[in-house]
Amino acid sequence: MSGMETKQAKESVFWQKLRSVGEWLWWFVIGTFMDKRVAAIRKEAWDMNDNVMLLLFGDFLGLPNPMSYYALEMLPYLAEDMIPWQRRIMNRQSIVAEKAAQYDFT
Amino acid sequence: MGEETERNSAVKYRPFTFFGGKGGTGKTSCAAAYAYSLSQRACRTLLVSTDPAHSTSDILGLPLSAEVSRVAENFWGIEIDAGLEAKRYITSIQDKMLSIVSPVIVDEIKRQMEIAYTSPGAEEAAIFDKFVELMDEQGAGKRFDAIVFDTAPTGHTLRLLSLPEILGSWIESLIAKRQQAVSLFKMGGRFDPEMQKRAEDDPVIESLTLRRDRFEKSRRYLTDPSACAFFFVLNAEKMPILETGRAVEMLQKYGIPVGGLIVNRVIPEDAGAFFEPRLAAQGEYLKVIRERFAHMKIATVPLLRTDVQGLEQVGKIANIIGEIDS
Repeated sequence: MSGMETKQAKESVFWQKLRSVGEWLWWFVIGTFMDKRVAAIRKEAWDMNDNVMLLLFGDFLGLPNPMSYYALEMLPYLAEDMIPWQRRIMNRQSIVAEKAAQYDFT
Repeated sequence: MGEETERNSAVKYRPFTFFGGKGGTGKTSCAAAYAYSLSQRACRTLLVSTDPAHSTSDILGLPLSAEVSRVAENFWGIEIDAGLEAKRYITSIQDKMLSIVSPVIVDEIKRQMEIAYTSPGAEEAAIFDKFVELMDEQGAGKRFDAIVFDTAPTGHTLRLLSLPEILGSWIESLIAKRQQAVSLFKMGGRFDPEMQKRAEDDPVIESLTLRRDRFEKSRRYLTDPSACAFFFVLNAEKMPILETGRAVEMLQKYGIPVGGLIVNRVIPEDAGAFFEPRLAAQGEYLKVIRERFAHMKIATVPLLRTDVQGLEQVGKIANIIGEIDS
C-alpha cells in the first residue's frame, strides 16, 4: 500500500521535473532564437503605429494636417496611446541609432 | 403618387445645384431666385446657405435657422452654422471617448482637441459634412427633389469642393499604413496576448474606411453631370470675369461639372445718361464673357430699381434664372 503511494509520488515528481525541464527548454528556445527576432517585428509594429499617429495627429505637434478635423474621429480609439506617443516622438534623438539598435548594431 | 412623379419628370432639374462666385456679385439672390423658380415648377426644393454672413434670411425676408424650415409651398430653407456643426461633432467625439477611455486621459487630451477644432479648415470640413449629410439623407427625391447650395465666396467654395479629392488619397495611404501596423502586431504578438488583442478587428481601420466611403460617395455626386452642376454668378466687370475664369478651370480640374454663368446686374439700355459710359464698358465685358465662356450657358439678369428683398421680388428674377435649366 505505502509502496504504491511512494511509487505514484515518485512518478509525479518525475513528471514534474520533466515538465519544468520542458518549460525551461521552451523558454530557452524562445529567448535565444525567437524573442529577439519577434522583438524586432514588435518594434517595427510600434514604429509603424507611431507613423500612423503622426499622419493622423501631426497637428498636435504643430505639423499642419489637411484632415485634422476628420482625424478626431479616431481619437477615442487611440487616446490611450496619445500621451506615450507624444513623449516618444518628442524625445527622438537619432533615428539611425534607433534602427541600428533594432538590428543589434549598437 | 404616380401623378406626382409624372409632374416632376416633366420639369427639367438636377438634384444638386451649386451657386458660387466672387463676393458681392449677388450669388445669394440668384440662388434664392433659382430655388424659387424650381419650387414654382412643383419641385420640392431646399435652399442651403453656407455664407457666414447669412444674407439668405434677409433676401427672403424670413428668418432661417440651422434646421430645415418651410419658406413657401415646395420651398424650404436652411442656414448652416459651421461653428455649431463643428461643436456638435466635437461633443459627439468627446462623449464616445468618455465611454471608451478613462476620464483622466480625456482631460489631458481635451486641450489638443481644442487645437484641431479651431484649426483652419475645421469649419469648411463641418460645412462639407453637412452638405454630404443633406445630399445623402434628404436629397435626390428622398425629402427634396432638388437642393440648391448658396456657397461662400469662390476661394472657400473651391477648397470645400476639392476636399474629397485631396483627402481621399490621404485616407487611402492612412488605411494602408494602419493595416501594415496591424499585420505587424499580429506577427509580433505570437507570444504576447495584449498585442494579439490589438490586431483583432481594428476600430481605426473601420472608421477610416467609413470616412473614405463617405468621401467617395460625395465625389460621385459632385462629378456626375446629371446629378450636379455649378453655376457662377458674376457681374460684367473685369475682376469677376478673371476670378470666374480661374474658378471654372479649378472645377474642371476636379471634374465638377460647370452648368453655366449668370451675369447679374446688367444695366438696361434705357438706363439714362448717367449710365452711358458704364454701359459702353459693360458691352465690352459682355463680349469678353461670351467669347471666353463660349461653350457655356449664359443667363443675364438686369439691374433692378431696388434691392432684391422678399419672395415677391425674388419671383421677378426667378423666371430669368430658371432659364438656365432649358
